[in-house]
Amino acid sequence: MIDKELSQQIYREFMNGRVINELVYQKDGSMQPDARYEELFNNYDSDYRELYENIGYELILKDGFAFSRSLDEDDSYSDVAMKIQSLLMIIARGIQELGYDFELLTTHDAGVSDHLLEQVETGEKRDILLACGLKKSLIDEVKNGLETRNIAYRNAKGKLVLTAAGQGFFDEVFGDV
Amino acid sequence: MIVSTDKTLIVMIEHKQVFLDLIDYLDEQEEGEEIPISVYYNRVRRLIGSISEERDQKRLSQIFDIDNLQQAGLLIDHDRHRAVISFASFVIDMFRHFDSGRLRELSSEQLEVLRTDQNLSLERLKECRIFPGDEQFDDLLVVIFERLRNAQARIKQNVSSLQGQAERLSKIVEEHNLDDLEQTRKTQKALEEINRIYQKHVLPTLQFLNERENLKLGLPALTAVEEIASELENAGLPGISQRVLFAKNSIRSYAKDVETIRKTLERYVRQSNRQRHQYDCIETAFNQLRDEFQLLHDGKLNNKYLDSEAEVFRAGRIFSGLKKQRFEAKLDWHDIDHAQCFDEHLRVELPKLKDKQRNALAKFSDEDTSDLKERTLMLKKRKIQSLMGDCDISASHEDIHQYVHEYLQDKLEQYSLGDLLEGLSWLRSRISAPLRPEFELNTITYNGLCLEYFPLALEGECSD
Repeated sequence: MIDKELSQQIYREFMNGRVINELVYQKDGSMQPDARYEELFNNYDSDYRELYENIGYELILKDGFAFSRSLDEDDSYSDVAMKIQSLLMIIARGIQELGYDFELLTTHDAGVSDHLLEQVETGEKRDILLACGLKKSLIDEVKNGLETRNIAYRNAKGKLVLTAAGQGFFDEVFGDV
Repeated sequence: MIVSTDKTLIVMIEHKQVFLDLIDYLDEQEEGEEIPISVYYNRVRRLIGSISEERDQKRLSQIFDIDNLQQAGLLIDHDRHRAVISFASFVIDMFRHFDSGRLRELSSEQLEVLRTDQNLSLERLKECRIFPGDEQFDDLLVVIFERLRNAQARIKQNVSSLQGQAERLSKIVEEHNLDDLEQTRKTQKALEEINRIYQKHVLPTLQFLNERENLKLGLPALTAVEEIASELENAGLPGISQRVLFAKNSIRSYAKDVETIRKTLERYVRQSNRQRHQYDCIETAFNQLRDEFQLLHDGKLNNKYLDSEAEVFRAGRIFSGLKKQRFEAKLDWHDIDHAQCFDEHLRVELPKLKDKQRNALAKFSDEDTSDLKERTLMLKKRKIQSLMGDCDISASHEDIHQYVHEYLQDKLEQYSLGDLLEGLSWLRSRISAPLRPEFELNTITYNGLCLEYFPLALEGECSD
C-alpha cells in the first residue's frame, strides 16, 4: 500500500535528479534508514515500478539506493553520468596517490577534507575535469554534481563521504576492471 | 677492559630495547642474522646518549664494545671486511622470548626438516630390531624422543610467535585512523606483513599438523609419529608407545591454536587483498580515463570535450538518465480537497463576477441614455429647421424674436427659449434681406427662463 506523503517526497526527489539512499547520515554521526527508500523497496513490484513506467520513467532500484531516469534518451542522457564518473575517479585516484586508503572516502566518520580535494586537483586532473565540461573548482563541482544529487554527503567534520550510490559506482568499477 | 659474559648478558637484558630493535632490523631485512656494525653502533650510541651519568656512559661503551662481546662469546662472527657482526643464536632467541611478537615463525623449509626427522625415525625403527636393552635400539629411542621434543618445542615457539605477530599486527590495523597518513602507511605495511605470515607460516604450519596431508614423498609428520607408536606397540612396548602418542597429541593440540590464528588473520588477508584489488581497479580505470583524455591532444585543446558515450564511461552508466527534469510537475498530488477548493473559489469569484457584470451593464445603460438624448436633440434641431423653412414672415415685422417665439411655441412640442435661438439661426440662413437691430432692450419670459435681446427688424420682403 503506497504511503501518499512518502510517495510525494520520492517523486520530488526524483524529478530534481536526486538519488534516494537506504541509509542517511544523521547529525549525531549515525546512519539511519531512509523511510522513502523503504517505501520504494516494499512497494517496488506492486506499485512504483508500473507507476513510474506509466509516466515515462524507469525506476532504478539498486542495492542501497534508488533513482529514476527518463525513458526518452535525449542528448544529455549520458552527460550527467560522465561528469559523476569523472569526479569520483579523480577523487579516488587522487587520495590514493596521496597515500590514503580508498576507505577514507566511504567511512562515514572519516571522509575527504576540502584541503585534500584541493591537493587532488592538480594539473592533469584539472584538465580531465575541463574535458568533461566541469569548469568550476573541484570543490564546487563536487557540491553540484555529487552532494546535491545525494551521491556524496558531508559528515559532522565537514568531510566528503560517499553514500551507497557513490559506493555503487565503485562496485561497478571493482567488478568491471 | 673485558667484562664477564654473565655481567654483559645482564646489562644487555637491562637494555633489551636495543636488541629488540636489532631483531626488528633483522626481520625487516630478511637477510640472515648479520647486522651491519654501523647499525649496531647507531643503536648503542642512541642508548648511551640517553644516559646522563658519564660513568654509566663509559661503562656501557665498554660492555657493548664489539671486542668485548666477542670475548664474552656472544658473537659468532665479526667480519671486519664486510663490517658485519652475527650474534650467537641463543642470544637472539633469548631476546625473542622476551616478546612473543618477535618470536621467529617456522618457515616451510624448517617444517619440512621436522617432518623429515619423524620420517627418518620411523624408517630407522623399521630397520632396527625392537628390543629394549639392544644398544642400537636404545640409541635410536633416544634420538626418536629427542626429535619429538625438538618438534614439540619448535611448534610451540612457532605458535607463540604467530600469536604474538597476529596480535601486534591486528592491533595496528584495528587502531588505524583513516585520516592519519602515517598510520595509513603503517597499516598498509602491517597488512602486507600479515599476508606474508599467513602464506609463508600459518598455512605451512597447518599443513604440517594435518595428518591427512597428501604428500609426494614420505608421510605427514604426525602420521609418521603415529606409526612409530604402532611399531612400538606391536613390539610389546606399550609404555614407550604411549609416551610417543602423548608427544604426538601434544604437537597436534597446537593445530587448534593455529586454526584460530588462521581465522583471525584471514580477515586481514581478505582486507589486504580487497584493498589491493581496489587500488588496482581505480588505477586502471583512471589510466583509461587519462588515455581517453590524452587522445584529445591534437594540438589545441580549445573546445575539446570527452564523449560521454565513450567506452571508458561504462561504469558510470549506472547513473545514465539521472538529471533534473526541466518542467513543472504535471501531477498534482498535494493533499487538497478539490470540492472545497472549488466552493471557496466560487465564494470569492462569483461576487466579483456579479459586480463586474453590474458595472458593465450600468456603463452600457449610461451610454445608451446619452445616445438617446443626443438623438432627440438632433431630431428637434431638424424639426426646427423644417419649421423655419415653412415660416412666412411679413416684411414689415418689427420684432423677429417675438415672431419666432410665438411661431415655434405654436408649432414645436416641448418648446424652450433655447429653441428660439436655434430657429433664429435657421431664419438668418434662409432670408436674404438684412436684419436690423433696434436700439432698445426687450424681454421674453417663458417657462421659468428669461431672454433679454435687442429686437431685430426685417428690412424688405422675406425671400428664400
